[in-house]
Amino acid sequence: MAHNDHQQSDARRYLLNQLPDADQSAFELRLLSEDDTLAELEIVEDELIDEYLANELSPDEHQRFEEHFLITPERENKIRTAQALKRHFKTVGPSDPKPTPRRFWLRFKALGRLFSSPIPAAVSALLLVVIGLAVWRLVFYQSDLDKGLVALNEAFRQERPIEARVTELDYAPYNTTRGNESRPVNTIELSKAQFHLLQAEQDRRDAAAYHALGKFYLLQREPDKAIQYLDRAVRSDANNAQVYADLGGALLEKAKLELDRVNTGDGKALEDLGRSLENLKRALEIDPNLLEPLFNRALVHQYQGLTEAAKADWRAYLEKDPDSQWATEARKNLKELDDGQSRHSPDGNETFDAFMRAYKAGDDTAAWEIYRRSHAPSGNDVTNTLVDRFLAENAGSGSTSENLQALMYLGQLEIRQTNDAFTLDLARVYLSASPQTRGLLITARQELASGRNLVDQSRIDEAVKLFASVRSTFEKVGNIPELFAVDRAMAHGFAVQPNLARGQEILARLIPDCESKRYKWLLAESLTNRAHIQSNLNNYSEAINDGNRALQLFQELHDVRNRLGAFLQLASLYLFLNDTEISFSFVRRAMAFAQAEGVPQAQLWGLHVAASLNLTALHLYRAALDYQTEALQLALQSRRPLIISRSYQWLGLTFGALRQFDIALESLQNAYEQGRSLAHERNGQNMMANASLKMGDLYRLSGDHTSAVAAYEESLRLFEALEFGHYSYAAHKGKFLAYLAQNNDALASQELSIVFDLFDSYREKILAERQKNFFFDREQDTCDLAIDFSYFRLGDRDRAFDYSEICRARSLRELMRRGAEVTSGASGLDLRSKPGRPEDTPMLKSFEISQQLPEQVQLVQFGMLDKKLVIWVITRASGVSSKSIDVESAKLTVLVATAVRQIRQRDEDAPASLKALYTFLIFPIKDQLDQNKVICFVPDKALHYVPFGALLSLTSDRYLAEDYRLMISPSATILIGSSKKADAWPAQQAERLLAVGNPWFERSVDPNLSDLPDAEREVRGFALDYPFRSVLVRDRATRKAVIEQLTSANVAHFAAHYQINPRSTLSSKLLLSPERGDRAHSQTAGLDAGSIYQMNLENTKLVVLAACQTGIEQQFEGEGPIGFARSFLVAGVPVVVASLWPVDSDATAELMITFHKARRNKQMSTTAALMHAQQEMIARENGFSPYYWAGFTVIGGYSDY
Amino acid sequence: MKRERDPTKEEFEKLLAWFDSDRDEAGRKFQLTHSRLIRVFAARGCIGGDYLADEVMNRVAVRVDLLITKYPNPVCCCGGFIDNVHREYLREQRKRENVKPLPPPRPAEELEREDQCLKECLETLTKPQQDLVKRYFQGEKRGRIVNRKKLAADLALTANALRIRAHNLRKELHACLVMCLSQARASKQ
Repeated sequence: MAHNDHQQSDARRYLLNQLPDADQSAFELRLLSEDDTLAELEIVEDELIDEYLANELSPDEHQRFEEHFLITPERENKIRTAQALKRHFKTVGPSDPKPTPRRFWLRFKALGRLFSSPIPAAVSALLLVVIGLAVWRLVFYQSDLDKGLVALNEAFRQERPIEARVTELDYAPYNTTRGNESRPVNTIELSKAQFHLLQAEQDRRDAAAYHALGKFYLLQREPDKAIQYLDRAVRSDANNAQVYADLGGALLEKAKLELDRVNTGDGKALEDLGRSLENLKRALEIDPNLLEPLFNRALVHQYQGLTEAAKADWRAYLEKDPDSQWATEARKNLKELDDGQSRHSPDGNETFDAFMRAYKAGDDTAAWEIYRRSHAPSGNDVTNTLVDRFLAENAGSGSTSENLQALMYLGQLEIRQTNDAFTLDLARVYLSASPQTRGLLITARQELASGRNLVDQSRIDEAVKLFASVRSTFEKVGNIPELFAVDRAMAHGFAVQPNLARGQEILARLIPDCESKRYKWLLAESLTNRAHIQSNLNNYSEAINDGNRALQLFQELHDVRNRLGAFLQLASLYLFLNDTEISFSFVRRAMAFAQAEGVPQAQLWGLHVAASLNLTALHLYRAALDYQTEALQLALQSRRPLIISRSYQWLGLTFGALRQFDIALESLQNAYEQGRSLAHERNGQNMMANASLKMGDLYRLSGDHTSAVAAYEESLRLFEALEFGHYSYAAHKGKFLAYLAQNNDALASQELSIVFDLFDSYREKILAERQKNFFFDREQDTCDLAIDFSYFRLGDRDRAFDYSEICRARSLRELMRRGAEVTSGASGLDLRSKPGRPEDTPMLKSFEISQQLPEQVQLVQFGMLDKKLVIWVITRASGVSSKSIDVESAKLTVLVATAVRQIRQRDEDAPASLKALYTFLIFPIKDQLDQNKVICFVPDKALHYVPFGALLSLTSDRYLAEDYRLMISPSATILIGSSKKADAWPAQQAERLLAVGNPWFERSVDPNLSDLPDAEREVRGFALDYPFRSVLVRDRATRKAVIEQLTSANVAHFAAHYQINPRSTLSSKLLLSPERGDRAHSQTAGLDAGSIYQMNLENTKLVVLAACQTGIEQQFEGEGPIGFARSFLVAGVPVVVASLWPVDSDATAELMITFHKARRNKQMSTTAALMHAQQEMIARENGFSPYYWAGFTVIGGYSDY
Repeated sequence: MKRERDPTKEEFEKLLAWFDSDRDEAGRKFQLTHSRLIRVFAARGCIGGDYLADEVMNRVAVRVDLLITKYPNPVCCCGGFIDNVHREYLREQRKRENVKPLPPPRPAEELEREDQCLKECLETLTKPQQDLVKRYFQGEKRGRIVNRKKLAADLALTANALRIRAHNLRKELHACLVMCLSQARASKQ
């Protein structure tokens, strides 16, 4: 009884939230594990309800009951029962209740009668509750979710606002109008739907609720919001076909909105179409009979320009749903596709006749339009027909041929339109040709055509022989235009053969010749060929330059076909550099252009391939497959072995990625066979070598490492015979990975050193910083494998460090050593280091770092590998030591992101994350750290975002910034270099300060940016501590004034808005005041990173960037952080203080005033002064959250000042 | 609330095996724990206890490999997860600033319907049960206490046994009432 009383009392206090935390936990444990406790709790619940209704609770209990107890719907129901009982026994009194008619549901009572004792009665009661609720739920009950979905269907009953089909939504015709026109939507039902679905989402938080809300937003034409909820639904229920179907629909609608935008240069639409297809296919894998994804898949294929696939989809749809109104829409779409394809495309003769009619009518516009659409790889079809017809005429006819007159007309027209002199010169050649010459020319032109056919058949050796013969004829008769044309044809042959040296040789003279003769079209074609050769020599920067020039020329010339080709060449070059954003934008431009110009299907092979390779790069393999299938069909129709082989090759790789190895291998064997049938030709050997390389990848992926090595070796052997080194890196890397998997350390070591040599040679050839960063971002896995292999397999930890160092901040090191220049190209601004040799930027090895490290510094360098974290600690006294921890890089990345987010949101869970990070990053090396020395962290990958000062000790609960002076550096070598630079400055010096605070700026730049009175207070708060100072605030802080004074300042402090440009970090800028009277340019006034990179700031020893997120805007795997601070390091500043996140203006002012005062008045070094300022904020009453102080960090070199 | 990822099939199987080596028994224990977690969250004043209980079970499941080495059974390790989920729930509630409005007074018609249903439900009990219910719920304050003591004595039950018996009957009536009301509502529509 005592136990019962005790239990009763606990239950009562528990329900009223009166138990202390520890007792509550203990009670809950009992509740979870003891039947008696649960029963007791239920009884006490009833009793509390009765007491509440009888007003028998104490005031405190009453309040607690209402606040705490009376909250769930279940309990509200119980109260209703209790109220009913109370009313009943008040009114009925002690007599028996009157009999009342029975209802059918009382038949369930029979079940209850089976039990007469209390326990079975309880079971029966429970059973009745369950059955009752089930019946109620099945027959009568409508949840918020159901109500919401019914209302949603009602809302759009008359008309549907989006083209995609939404699951379980009845048919309504699609409204194709755009914009703000009113739509026949039942707004009352729509409001009801919104209310119920939001309620359901709040109550349930399950896949069904997210799915329903996703559908709501999709129908509201808010695809971004829809995708957000549908993504959540997928995460909660990964096997729901309907959710995938609607996610696919939402992505389709998003892509359509992007396609509607004026700027067609953005490739995001194609990416979203790819993602849409990926999800629709997932839906159909789960449920092949689901109609909505079938319908939507056809739409996606239509928008992707995959006509055949779209037609097949519509037919497949109609087989499953032949009679509905949806089927009527499907038939309409299918008919439009059929009609589009059956549109008559004029053949060569019709085109020529049309041109002649235009010529005779003097219709320059029509003639030009026909001409510009007639460019082909072999020249212009109209021009060639005119020449051929002229040559076929009777040589002695006397009067000037009509064909020749037309050719002259065309040449003059071309001069007027584009200033290209090729056709006019050609006409002149034929005008002056003697009958004998004409005979030679006829033969030569026939041979030229045959040669071109041979190139198409990959019989390039034969073609080249013919070209040589043609060339000598043209040379002999002085036909310069066609001499150049045949040279171009030869260069093209050598480029694809590949015989790169001979191709280069021809182009080296042809390109300047075309320039001097103003043969623009031929020049553009030659540049395209040179870009092809340069890319195969891994000279990507040059290739991109040539590709851009070619594109520009084709645009000037209004050449439809080659302009499309130029877009695709650039797409492919950027894709190789792993820059899918730019690559996709070129594919998008190509697609829009092809649609606008009505380019025939047969010419779209390159477009499909480029789209598929971009999707593959984004791991959207299912989506890539459809493009590849259509590309293969076009390739087979063309009967050109090279493109057939390539098509099979990519198809095989995609099947491999989808782990369908049999079909993948079959495809790659087809690719190989195309080459083998031409094995005597270099082009055939090239196909075999390529296919072998990809087979190596496939075998490795399937776990057959022996076959992989054999395939890589065959590939290397064939490429070496061709003296074609383009794929050596990929083949050696594949071999290294295969040996690694085979535990063959000796051969793995050998391959690794080859891979690294090739890796380095690539770096020198890629000039532009963005290209380098994207390329090496992808290839960072090579570095990680090298570190992993050396550290764990070979046990050579110093070598592992050297690999870690060699891969780190390489571009930054080059920029710092050689200086930077900003270039402007077709893809926007870019940065490149000034020319130099690799030895200009030596990388220090671990022992050199140990020797050269400042005495006061302990270096902590991280290597974040796939499943491990390696930490090296280096000091001058103790040399190099290291530790490794088992932690997945993905987990650490999430942990860092979580911690930073929590700090920024001042979340109460942040300490737990900071402790967890401390456990991984500091705890393993804690005993090696000396509190008297500065810790310089060299982070890796996601660790660049870590606010090290905020890491919380597990034992002392102290922030790291409370115990250590801290700084970070992009690499150990940069730390040494910048420290040496800093060391040249005397510790105590009469410093000259430039302080910029709260510049006036044009509000329309961003209405969300506020005035910064704290920034002005900040600079005024410490400026007087500097003996020489210049304070620029408000409208005095102009770009001109800042730049003028910056070069002579020793210490520069910026307290302003920093505006990040997500498209180009070089254009990110500190907002400054426009010059007086120059409001026209007020929106652009600012100090941009691009300008800083190019400045010489050797007089500046410290820069403080007291603005938002000046330390890191972007992060690349190898290169590390890109941000405003980096530009100052390149400009020669050894020490920079910058921020990791958008900071608080008021707190930053406090922090910075304390920091500068400590530097100046207490002679503290930069690291010590920052530590001091941060400690002051921590020590304040209630302590400032790390958000206010931990974002700032010292970057670069160690300094005594 | 940040939702834990769903456990993998393998993790879930491990969790079940941890509950009991017999799969049926494990399933029963899992359900039981889940339903008790719902009660815990209800007792802590949370709406959507079902979802929160799921979340606790998910969190335990995805960490099953680690927890299994530290705790004798899954129930023992739930405490910390309950606290965390509850804390996150409260934080979210604060963010939403949900103030639950007091329910409006119910119309007389509805009360009448309830009374009628209760009458019908009482009739479904046996005569002794009806008598027990009547005597147990009659009276106020002191009078009620006296009634119950006498009732226990008449039925030769301890006070606690009477509480249990009354509670079980009340549960039965509650279930009956819910069903009756839904039927009445449906026939009215």
